[in-house]
Amino acid sequence: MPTIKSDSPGFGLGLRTEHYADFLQDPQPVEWLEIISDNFLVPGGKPLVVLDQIRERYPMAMHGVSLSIGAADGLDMNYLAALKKLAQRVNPLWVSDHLCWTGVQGKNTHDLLPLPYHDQALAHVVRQIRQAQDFLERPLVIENVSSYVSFTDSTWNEWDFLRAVCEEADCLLLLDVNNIYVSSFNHGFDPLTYLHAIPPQRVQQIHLAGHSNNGDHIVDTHDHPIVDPVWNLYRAACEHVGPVATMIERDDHIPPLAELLVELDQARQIAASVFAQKAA
Amino acid sequence: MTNPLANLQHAFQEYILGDSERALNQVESSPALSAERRLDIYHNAYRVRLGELLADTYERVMIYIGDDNFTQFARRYVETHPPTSRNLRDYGGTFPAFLADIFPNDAEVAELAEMDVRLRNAFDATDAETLQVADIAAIQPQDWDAVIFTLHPTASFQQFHWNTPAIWQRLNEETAPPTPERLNQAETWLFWRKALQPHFRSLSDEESTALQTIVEKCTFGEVCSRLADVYPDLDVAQNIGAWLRVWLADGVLAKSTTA
Repeated sequence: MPTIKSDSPGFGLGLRTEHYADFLQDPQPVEWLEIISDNFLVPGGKPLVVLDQIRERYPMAMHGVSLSIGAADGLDMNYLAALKKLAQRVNPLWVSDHLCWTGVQGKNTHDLLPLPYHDQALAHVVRQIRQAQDFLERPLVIENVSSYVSFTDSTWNEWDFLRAVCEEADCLLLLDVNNIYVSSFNHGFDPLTYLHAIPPQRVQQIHLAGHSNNGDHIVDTHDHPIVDPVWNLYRAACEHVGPVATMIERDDHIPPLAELLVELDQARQIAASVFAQKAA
Repeated sequence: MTNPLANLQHAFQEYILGDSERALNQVESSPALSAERRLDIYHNAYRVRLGELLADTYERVMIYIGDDNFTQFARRYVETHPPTSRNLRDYGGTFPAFLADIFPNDAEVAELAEMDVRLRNAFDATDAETLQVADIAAIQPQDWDAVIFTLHPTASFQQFHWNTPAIWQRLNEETAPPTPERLNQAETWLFWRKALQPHFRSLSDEESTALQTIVEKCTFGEVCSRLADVYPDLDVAQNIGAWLRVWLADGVLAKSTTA
């Protein structure tokens, strides 16, 4: 029986140090928070103390950036063990990371590098997702990355590859709507074609974010408000996927929490209008 | 190589690290960008990301030597030191030694960097329960000689040959630092975490000797003997009593002390 996604907890934000005090002082209008797992893979001290305090107040999803699930060298079992230990502490809604690799041969670029889309890469990443899921004893939620290159030996398009990955590995998806938009611009495809190829029942979560448009290419910088074309794509995603956990990522030029809450309200309104229409 | 995925990843990583350009043959050009420009997005982002990380960790060094200098040396460091850990927290630990080679006549720069990273490490070092007054009170008089105290895992020492802590403090207060001066005699400072925040303070030679002897897992009796040997004029009992009170109040000792 395939992995079933859990019910949507609603709307959330990425937990960033700039907003720790806001979340500790007063109840905030978010249903859940997403943490960057890697920020808490530390020996001790304040990060873990604050994590526990905020976890008491909010459900949390764990989102990692260093699993490197597509690395040709294999998985780093020490990293997975640390992740599993953190998951035991946090008891998260789910654990996610990216469909990418971050380094090989003992080096780490600390970037989310795209995979080539061919049969060998598919078999390899599927095997490693299954291995990670078995070790973590939970389904992985895998996110599509933004990319700036395409490879000569790719034989699949990205959306078919992503769908094949999650179906063959029996994992769930973190659909980053901004990343679809960024990659559609950089590679010249129709973002709706991508979106509609995604199996709705696999989408556990949606990411929204801003980016930097450099004219001839877009970089996924998470340092701006969400742009209208991405909001439009989010509307289409709600229509395609149904009610789904949605959150906003902001990693640079981080504004006051109130500003992000207004942006999150926009997501709530779009989702509400889509589901009101569907109900009518 | 017969493994296409491994072949591509090795080539791509080499391009990012600046080791080879063979990945150019494996990347498609887009109507807007050549393969080279597309790969350069990753090549450049790697350098910016690690440079920003170093600037964040070594914030006072950057203020002290200036943004342009810092950016230049950080870039040079990044080119020759690819990250080997999954955790970005581990990156840049050898930057102080790298700066020591660059500034052989301005050793306060490397000392400043060492302070920055030492405080960073104390911030999220391993937790441990601190030794309490009640723990000490429970030690029977006849057992004191055999007691082995344990330093808290966040505690470490740094030896300074320059007036670097004063420079660090002024930079941290965003005021002009004093002129660097070489000390007549090296000083040892203690770094540790208290109430979740990193702290540091100077140590007298005598207190430093006491703490370093504790680090060697010597018994309390051996600590006292060494102090008496090294400092014949020191009132050992009075001084170590006073230090113990401070260490307990500051959380410098861990609970795992054994009697």
